[in-house]
Amino acid sequence: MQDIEQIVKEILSAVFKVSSSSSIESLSMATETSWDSMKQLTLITALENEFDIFIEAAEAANLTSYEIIVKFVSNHSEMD
Amino acid sequence: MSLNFLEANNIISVENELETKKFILAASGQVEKLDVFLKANCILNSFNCQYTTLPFNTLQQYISTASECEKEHVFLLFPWDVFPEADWRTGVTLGDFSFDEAQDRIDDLIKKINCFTSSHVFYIPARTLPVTFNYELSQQIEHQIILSLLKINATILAENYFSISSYLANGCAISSKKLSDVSSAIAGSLIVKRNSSSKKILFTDFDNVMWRGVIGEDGVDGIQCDAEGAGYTHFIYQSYLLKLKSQGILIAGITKNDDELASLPFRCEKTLFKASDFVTLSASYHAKSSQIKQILIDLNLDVDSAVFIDDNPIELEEVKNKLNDICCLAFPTKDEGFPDFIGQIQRYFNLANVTEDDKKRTELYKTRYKSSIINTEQGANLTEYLKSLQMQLTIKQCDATNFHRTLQLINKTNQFNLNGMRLTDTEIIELINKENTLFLFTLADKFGSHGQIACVILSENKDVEYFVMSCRVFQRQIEYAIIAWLIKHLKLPELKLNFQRTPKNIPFQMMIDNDLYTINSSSVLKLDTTSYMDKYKNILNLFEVDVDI
Repeated sequence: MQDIEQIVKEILSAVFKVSSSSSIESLSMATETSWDSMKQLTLITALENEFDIFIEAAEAANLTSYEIIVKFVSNHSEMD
Repeated sequence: MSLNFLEANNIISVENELETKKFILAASGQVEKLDVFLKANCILNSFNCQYTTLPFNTLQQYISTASECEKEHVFLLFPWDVFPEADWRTGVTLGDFSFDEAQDRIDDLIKKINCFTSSHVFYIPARTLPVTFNYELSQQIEHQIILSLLKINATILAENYFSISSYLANGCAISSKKLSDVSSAIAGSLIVKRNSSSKKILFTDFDNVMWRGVIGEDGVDGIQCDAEGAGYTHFIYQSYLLKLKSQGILIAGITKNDDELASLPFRCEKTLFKASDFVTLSASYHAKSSQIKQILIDLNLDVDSAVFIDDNPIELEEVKNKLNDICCLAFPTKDEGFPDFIGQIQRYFNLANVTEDDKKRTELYKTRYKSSIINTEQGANLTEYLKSLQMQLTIKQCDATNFHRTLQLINKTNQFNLNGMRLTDTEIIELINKENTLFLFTLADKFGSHGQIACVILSENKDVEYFVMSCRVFQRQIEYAIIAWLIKHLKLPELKLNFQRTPKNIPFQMMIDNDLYTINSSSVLKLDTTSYMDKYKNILNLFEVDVDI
């Protein structure tokens, strides 16, 4: 689980150019003004690539915060 | 090279001064997902890329109008770009066609692509919807697409690069796991101009290129280049060099070693490629760019006719920096990268035909070639590049429980070695017990750990009794940083070093060959620490230094 959190943080840091851990943990589409559709596409690409999972379009639309993403990836990892 | 997202992102985050290649990435589907990977793979091939894409599903229209056909294009094609009926996104259509009608469609697409004067064509033979009434006919048509595209030098990528889930979900037909592989193929193709003439000479490094291992540390019995085990790719590489030589390509050896050591594997019959197969072999501790330049002058060849292959990114950067028009290729560190690497070499040495005279070219050049003077011209200034490596130097003080790597370094290292003296376990423990100090240096950079690469032993009087460094990490200014750190740590006005000249410690001799060092009548080497720190005041800024004392 710690590995998943770490990688998700690194991905969010890379996509949204945020460095501090606390800022990343509180990151969400509601509060981050740069979080647009292109960033969402890059985020989904990164998650799929790093974790070797496929994210359906409907699921992708719901991945809108650090917490939700970590939970989603953890569930997919367990299922695999 | 296959990168994951974070690796690719790290590569593109570092500023560089590489030239930029512009092109149009023409595909019918969504290709934005390729962006990070494409940019990173281009940087790994020593250029930046700037490209535009087509609006979704407009490829057919674009190639039909053939606008901007003089610009460089990368076409990324799928079966439905030939047969829209095969497109998963439209569902199965009614209607049918014969093999001849299919061939007409294929020929039509190829004719349109040929209007683009500078194009790189990639094709992913994805599974498709049934396009005809007959399974075997559908298969024949799929094969015919590939055969026809091969005739225009298209690169056929693997079927498993296609992801139907991704294609149906967001219009990107490439699997997320294969984005880097597609990007790598595109980047590799872009570094060779289409229809450019073949290069004429290949300069090859030795350690970890001609063989696995470092001849100066592992010895002739420790290096591997057999058709089995860890040396297998090096065996294949040597066999390919032999083939290139038989086709008229000149092969030159270029290594940072002394002559005798460099030629030892060949004299011991260890290698498939023999010393006599080289047009020349340059073993010197001077900058490789200078040696390459001298050889090209002596052979009357242009820089842009040359390819340089090395495993060390620092050497590649140095040569590329000094000789802009040379093509540099990194010998892959992982076997998975080896097929692409061989493919790259083949693109550079792409011959139209081979004549009987071509086969004798090496011998012909050898008779003309006079022994070259060693070119001592300074190599490229790599300060900015070295900073971009994000090197971390960890310094650990060793005691009687953890000195083993120090011992190994002292007893294996010949080239960067203060005096060539060896130690036994007992002797090193005695030194520790007599309050000598052992420092072990570990290096890491953004590509990973290089392990424990240097050690220093100080006497009770703080004189440097032993100082060795692995030749794997030459060119990184580490030796200068170690001395700077010792000076700061010891706070002495003068540093004494127990130096002895040996036949093999030429790199060390080169480091001290300046006014900072003096040898007194008792052969003690002294370093003026104030002058040294004036000259090298910024050297430690190249590293993140972590001290564990």
